[in-house]
Amino acid sequence: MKNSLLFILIIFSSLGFLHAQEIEVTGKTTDLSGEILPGVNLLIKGTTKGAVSDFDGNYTIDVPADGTLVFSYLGYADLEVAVNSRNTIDIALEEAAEMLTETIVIGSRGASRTKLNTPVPVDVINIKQDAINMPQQDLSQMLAASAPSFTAFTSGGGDLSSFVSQPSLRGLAASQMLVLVNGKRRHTSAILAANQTGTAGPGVDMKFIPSVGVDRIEILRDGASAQYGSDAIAGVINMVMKKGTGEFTGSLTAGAYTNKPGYDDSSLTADERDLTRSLDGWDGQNFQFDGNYGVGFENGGYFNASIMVAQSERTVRPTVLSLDRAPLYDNLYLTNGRTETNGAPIITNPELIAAQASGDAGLISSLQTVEGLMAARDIEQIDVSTYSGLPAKTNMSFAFNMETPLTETSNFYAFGDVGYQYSDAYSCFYRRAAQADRTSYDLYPNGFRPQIYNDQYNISLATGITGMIGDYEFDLSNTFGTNSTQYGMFNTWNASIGTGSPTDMDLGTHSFLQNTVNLDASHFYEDILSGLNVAFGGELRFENYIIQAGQEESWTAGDAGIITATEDNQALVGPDGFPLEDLSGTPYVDDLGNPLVLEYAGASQQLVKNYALNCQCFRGFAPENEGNSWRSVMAAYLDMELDVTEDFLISGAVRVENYSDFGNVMTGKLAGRYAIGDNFSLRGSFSSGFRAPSLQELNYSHSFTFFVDLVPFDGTLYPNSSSAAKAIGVGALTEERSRNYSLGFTSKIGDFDITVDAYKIDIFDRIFTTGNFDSSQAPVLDPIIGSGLASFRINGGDISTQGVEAVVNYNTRLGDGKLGVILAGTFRENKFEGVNLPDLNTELSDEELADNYVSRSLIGQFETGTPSAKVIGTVNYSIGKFSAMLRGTRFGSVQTRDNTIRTLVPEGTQGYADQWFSPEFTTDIGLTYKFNDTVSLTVGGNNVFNEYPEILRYELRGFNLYSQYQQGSAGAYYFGRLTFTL
Amino acid sequence: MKTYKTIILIISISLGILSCEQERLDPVLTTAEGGGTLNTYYAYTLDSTDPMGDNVYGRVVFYKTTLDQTLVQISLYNTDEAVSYPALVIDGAVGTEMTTSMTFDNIDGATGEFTESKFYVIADTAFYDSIMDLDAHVNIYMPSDDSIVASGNIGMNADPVETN
Repeated sequence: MKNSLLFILIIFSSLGFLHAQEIEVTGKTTDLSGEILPGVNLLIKGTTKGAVSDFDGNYTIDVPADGTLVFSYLGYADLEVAVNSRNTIDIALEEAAEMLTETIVIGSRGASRTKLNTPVPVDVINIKQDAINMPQQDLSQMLAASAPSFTAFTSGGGDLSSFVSQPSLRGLAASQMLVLVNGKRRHTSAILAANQTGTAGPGVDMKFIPSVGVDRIEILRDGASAQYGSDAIAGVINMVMKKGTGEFTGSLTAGAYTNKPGYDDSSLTADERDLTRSLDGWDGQNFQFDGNYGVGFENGGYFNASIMVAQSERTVRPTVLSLDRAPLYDNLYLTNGRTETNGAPIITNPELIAAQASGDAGLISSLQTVEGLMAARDIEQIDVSTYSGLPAKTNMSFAFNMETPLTETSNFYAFGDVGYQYSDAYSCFYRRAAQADRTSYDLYPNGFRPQIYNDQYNISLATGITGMIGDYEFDLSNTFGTNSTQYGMFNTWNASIGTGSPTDMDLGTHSFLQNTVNLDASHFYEDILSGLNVAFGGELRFENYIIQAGQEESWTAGDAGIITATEDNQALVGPDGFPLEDLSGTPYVDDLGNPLVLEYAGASQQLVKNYALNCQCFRGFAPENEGNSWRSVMAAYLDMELDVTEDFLISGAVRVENYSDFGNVMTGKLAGRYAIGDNFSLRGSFSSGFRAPSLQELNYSHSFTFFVDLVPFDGTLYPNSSSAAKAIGVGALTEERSRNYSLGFTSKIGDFDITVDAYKIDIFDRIFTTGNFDSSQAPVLDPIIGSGLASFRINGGDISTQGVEAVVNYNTRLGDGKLGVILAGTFRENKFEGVNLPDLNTELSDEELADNYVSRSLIGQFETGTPSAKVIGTVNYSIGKFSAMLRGTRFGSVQTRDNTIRTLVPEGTQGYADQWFSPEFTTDIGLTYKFNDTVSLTVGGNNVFNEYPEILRYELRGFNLYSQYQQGSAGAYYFGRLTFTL
Repeated sequence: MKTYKTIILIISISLGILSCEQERLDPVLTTAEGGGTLNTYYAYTLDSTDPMGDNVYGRVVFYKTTLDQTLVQISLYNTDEAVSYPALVIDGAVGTEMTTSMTFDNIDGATGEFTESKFYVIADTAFYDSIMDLDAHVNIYMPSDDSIVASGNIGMNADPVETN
């Protein structure tokens, strides 16, 4: 790691030598009334080199004496000024007729358009401008805070899920949204992570891209598979990286969570209220350094580099249950009644022995109670509770973006990043000492809390050439990306191999690699009506997914609980001559009450202690789970945009893709926009789309093990290519197909800009995971799984989502400052349309099979697991050296649906423990004071009023105390940030 | 050049601040000394005095703890669940019923083990290592008539039936 940092420093240092000597031009940027305009973009015409004016409207740029500067600013018309060897150029920009003149490249292969001129809804999150006042630093969290269509679920637990914060759009899965960087497909994480829409899937892990290197993020809220290929069902986001900024920007951020329970504890039982408290005050302390530097080359090229180093500590949100419900010790433990496999006693309560030795009758009595022994050991129930919370993380990443001319008509470009992350997370219930099958007095006298961790390495590199061939612009590129994740677990052991078990285990490694070659060509025919853009191209993509097994102790079944006879007719008795006992203290005796006898030395065996197998609590990936799979994808597309008139745009695209593992897919799209006057336009689109099953979904396999008598059996999630899948009749996974409809309008009324879009997405053959099947339910599985269990991934059903998204922008001057208000909301309904039940080889009735095929809780998670409404209101105000951001977010209600009929509390009736969670409202704030041109200080926080979601109902309280699907359960977060500009 | 030095300085300081190791949550290991598996012991047979009658028999085991205490365990078969049997250590070999050197807790007839606790605790840390030199035996009595229902030599009067 030290070498890597040194390398990065050397790169930063050496950039200076590339800087050319030119004349320095300084000046001030204002509007026509003389008001200062901070943040005006400058570009040297004909190059990609530029600068930005500061808070006071001042700018400095090195420029050829005979060059031309192009000034642009949101809401103002562009202005070109010849330098003519002048060293000072003050300019005044004229307000544009249309406020939102940011040009957008996503969703179109033709000329860039403004937000109000696109035929489909596009949001632009100006990361470069907004980041300074935002509490969020991770790009996915920034998106979720800025755009209501986004959610970015961070699991407070879950085996593999805490390691990825994957954004998703329109209430669909993260895998149903395509992520581009500079217009090129970004590879996904190797991790199949759970998400709030119900089924685990791969998503792009955005934290490996330093947010400081991102100029803006364009969000296309519409299906675009016909333009970009697989995954673009809910939409597409494109991260546009910074170019030649001509300055160094760095920031150092520190923050923490207050960790003060802000919930209504009336839902807790009296015991739980007594035992629950905040643990250890402020937590989740985090520090992050971001740095970005960009330089322009004399030839018009640029190089921009970013670095991000972050460290965050865990948050702890314990789920404290009553002593009756989760006693730390059982009676055998309290009375020293535990024995080893050979019958040797285990003294688990030495405090009791000491009390007996002293003859203190009161203490002897007290120490044989859970409360008494916990008090003697100074242990509170909260210390030994199940913990949920944000994982501890260490992140580092380095990114760059460059372009340089090759010839008069061609450029070479490259961008990429390399990153590392360590993370340890909560994923396991607390293993109480009372649970004799999985605890060890020698290793963990009071139980233990296994924690999963991982080391991730991520690399991305895109290189390409743009230029002209005849009349056509072309772009030939290669984009490589890989993510490798090694899982481990600490504070654990494999009880079945005894106390010699390691307590920190390698669980295995997953890696995903993707390499994409693109050739795109386009030409704009100015003389066909009001302009026709024709684009076409092809894509060749290779993908590889590997699962490597973990260390043997993590998945093996040991024999620590088994006695093998060492002599013929060996009686199973302990040192005390009494029969050996199982884990609950029940003796092994025959019908007459005599100790069992093992007949044959070396052959006869008895499972005496049914110790839990494998690594607690996640079985390592075993040799049978290993895989190394490849596939290739070929695609071709044609994309046209026709300006029939100045006011009427129509566009269409068609794309064909061939997957080596499941065949061909053809998609198409039609979109149009019609302007009525200068301030109103209608727009709409219809498209078909698809999402290919990822290699992760096609090949992921994992098992858990359980005992039946002496024999361990596996419950396995089988790949669809397995013999088990073939036997029961589960076919190969196919693509999810979609139909997208979108209709909306854009309008400008005074200082208000309004976009309203309604949409409907039908998705066919959505991928789900079945429940477990056993051999009694599916006898055909018996030769394969025996007494084990099998589950599968399936194209289980059709789903749909429909809704309305509205965005209102208001920009004006207030006093001497600038006021910007954004109100954005999304209102949607997700619906599971029905199960696609194939003719499976089972003994189950259709109804039973359907329930196990796509479970009630999975359906519920999709339909109501994310807020059906989310509204975000943001106010930005800047005046002089101050700028401020105030943001309120309303999360609509969500519902958890139970999958088990159980006794409900307090009703006492049988039923599902479903639960509605009321809407939540959180407030974020950021305040910046600029001391001088170099240093700014920002303070603020998110969820500053410490709003926690509602507590889970009694039956569902186990791992989590709160719902995870609204604002999360981290509570209030405050931060301070120093920003440097050099 | 000064700018680049400043940049490198800022980066270096920032990385220094961030270069701390992540601390993992430790398990709660609080417990008194003396716990763990009892692997050092002497086990002696207690024979029935009436094999054809009540036939109460079993073992007495002396375990050594890691604190050198001695834990005594008695396990009897065929006890009457309604009876609480006294258990004594008597000087001399079986048949020499003169001096009681130690009185254990009573045996619960329902379980065949000590009534109060699984183990009787001998706090004397020298006791365990002196067991082999002990001239004694253990008697189990029927409380109704003080008759001996089971008995077994220990220490120098018998070889342990099992030891470790």
